[in-house]
Amino acid sequence: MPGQTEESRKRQKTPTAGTFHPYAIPASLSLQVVSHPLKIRPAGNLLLARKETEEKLHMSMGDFYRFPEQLIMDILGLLDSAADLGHMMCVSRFFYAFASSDELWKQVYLRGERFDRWLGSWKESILRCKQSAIDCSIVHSDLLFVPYQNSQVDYSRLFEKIIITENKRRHQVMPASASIPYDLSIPRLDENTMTALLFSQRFHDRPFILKSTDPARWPAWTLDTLRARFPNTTFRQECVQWPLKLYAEYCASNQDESPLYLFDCNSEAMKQLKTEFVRPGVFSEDMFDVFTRHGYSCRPDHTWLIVGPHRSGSTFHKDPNSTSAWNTVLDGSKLWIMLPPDVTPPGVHTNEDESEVTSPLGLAEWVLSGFFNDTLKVARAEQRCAIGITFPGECLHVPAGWWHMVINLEDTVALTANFVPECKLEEVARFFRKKQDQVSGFHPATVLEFVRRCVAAGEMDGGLLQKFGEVDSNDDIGELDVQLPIYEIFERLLQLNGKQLKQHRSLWKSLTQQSTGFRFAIDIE
Amino acid sequence: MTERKIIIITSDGDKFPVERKVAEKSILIKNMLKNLLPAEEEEEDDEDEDEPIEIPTQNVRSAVMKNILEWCDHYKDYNFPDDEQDDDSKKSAPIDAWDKNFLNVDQEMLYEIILAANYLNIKPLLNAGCKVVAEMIRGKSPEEIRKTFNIVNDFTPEEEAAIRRENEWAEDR
Repeated sequence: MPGQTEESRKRQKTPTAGTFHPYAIPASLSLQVVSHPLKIRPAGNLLLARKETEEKLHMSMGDFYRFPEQLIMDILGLLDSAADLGHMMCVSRFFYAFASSDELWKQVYLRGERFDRWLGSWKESILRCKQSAIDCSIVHSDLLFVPYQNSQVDYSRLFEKIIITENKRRHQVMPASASIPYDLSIPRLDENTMTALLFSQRFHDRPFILKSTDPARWPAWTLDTLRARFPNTTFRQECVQWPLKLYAEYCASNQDESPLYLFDCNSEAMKQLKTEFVRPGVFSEDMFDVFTRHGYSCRPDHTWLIVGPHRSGSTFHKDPNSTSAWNTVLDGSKLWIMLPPDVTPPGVHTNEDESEVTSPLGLAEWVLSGFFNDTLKVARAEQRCAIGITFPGECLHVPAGWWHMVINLEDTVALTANFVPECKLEEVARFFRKKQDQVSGFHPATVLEFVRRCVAAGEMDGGLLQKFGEVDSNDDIGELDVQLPIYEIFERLLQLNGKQLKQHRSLWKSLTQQSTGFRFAIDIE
Repeated sequence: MTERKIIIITSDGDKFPVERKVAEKSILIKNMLKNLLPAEEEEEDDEDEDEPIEIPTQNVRSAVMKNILEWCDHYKDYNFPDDEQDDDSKKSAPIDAWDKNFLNVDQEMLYEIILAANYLNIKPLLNAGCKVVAEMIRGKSPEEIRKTFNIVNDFTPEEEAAIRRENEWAEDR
């Protein structure tokens, strides 16, 4: 992107970067010095160390002295038992430092080791014992130091200006009909004044926050109250499924660089919780409702409870299937950085059709290495990006296709849902048609069963069933190397609900009447 | 059209003529060749076509290179899957029998093969080497590990006792 190259060139020329925007993070803050509990130092410090230190290090490493630190870590990563890792800790100071790396102990957990109590780290929880801090000051390693440094990030200082500004703004609620000039922040609109018409005319492609005058508009759940209600219910937290009381202990103290984030849709508790709130009327119109028919649903999961400790969050992404979303904070606060679909965020790499998106840096490292400041520059050039904070009771609209990144500034509880407003119908249909390989959230066996029922009811052509091929897994199609005729199904379902897609009005007809060979001919725009 | 000869030169000056597909097991060399021989098929008859391509490898001595090339030759017709390293199932898979036998060398040679595989970017060989080292650690007591890898115990007796105590849970299983 030429704009970005230009920006980064400017950055190199301007050593005083950091003062160009009130929100910019000054270098003095991003270079914050932390000290590691085991006194491990950054690799660069070894250059200044005495020869004596180097000799000590050599003895402590033995034959591994010649090995790059990543190789040593890879070898330790192959030891999958707590006993072997434990033995390495007993070997010498160097190996105490490396074998204490909590990422290794997390892997031990993921390979089957279990615990019921969280003691502040993966290692301590697995060993059922708080650990004394051994002096490892001879060890100089970025591999160990940098993740710890990132885990100590202090967002309340880095984002102090935004937090102050947003705390002032949070009571400035405007009617949706007001004229709202662009100023990087996310406007707060009175929920009662937002209408379907205003949304489809002015707001479907803009981030905004809906706020109600009723303080009891949203449930006041906190991690504490949820834990009191569902202490033993398991929720999904990324790669683990823990009872809430264990997760609450984890949230209270951990040094993970990217803390586990609770994202749950299907727990027993969630079934109950879903009945305890009402989504905003303007977000109720949902074209994906058509994926539920005859009391059976093949629709992707779409309503989630999100709980995350301070520092947790999501790196830049677009929501699946080109859906829109709303997100309401119930407790805590979230920082949002949002970029329009065509503006690739700094620090993120994508290929041409965005089927591959890589965000190599975790949230803290992304901010600390200057990408937040870069984003402010992009925002200044683009005049469409949005940065803001949502507080309890504030419901954010994430427009379809927008890049967004979220940082929990405190322990935060939120509700979120994906939906498809009618004015975004064509975009979603185009996504299904053009980006078949990126469609996600559907499960082959469930979709097949859904289509069978529709065929049996005489609502769909039996020929559609042949497009499924062999269905031998019910995993998310986003994870599988199979493609389902989701576009065809969606178009037919819309038709059954009295809706027509604009551009491809004749597609369904051709599909059901012509031989399949013809399909490719009309698929070209 | 005949393929241009490739000669790998080791740190101690030995020259190893190799087939391209053998050399290309090293991703480092593969990328180097990609830059040196752009779009080979379309290339006009070049005056120096008969000139062999010499690739110096400053970090690898002849005795090690001989082993590395033996490994590359063994796998020259085998295509390794791309993302070998990140795949957890590959990580926990046992060492391939041929690799295990191949890496049954003295410890110094094993280290040098691992470091060369790391430098030359030969992931499957590097992974096999790391697995052999992990095998040398597995099931051993701290004292045995120190002995195996010439590591000096630099803890105070109090520290060592504390670490052992804090590790008891893993030990008793």
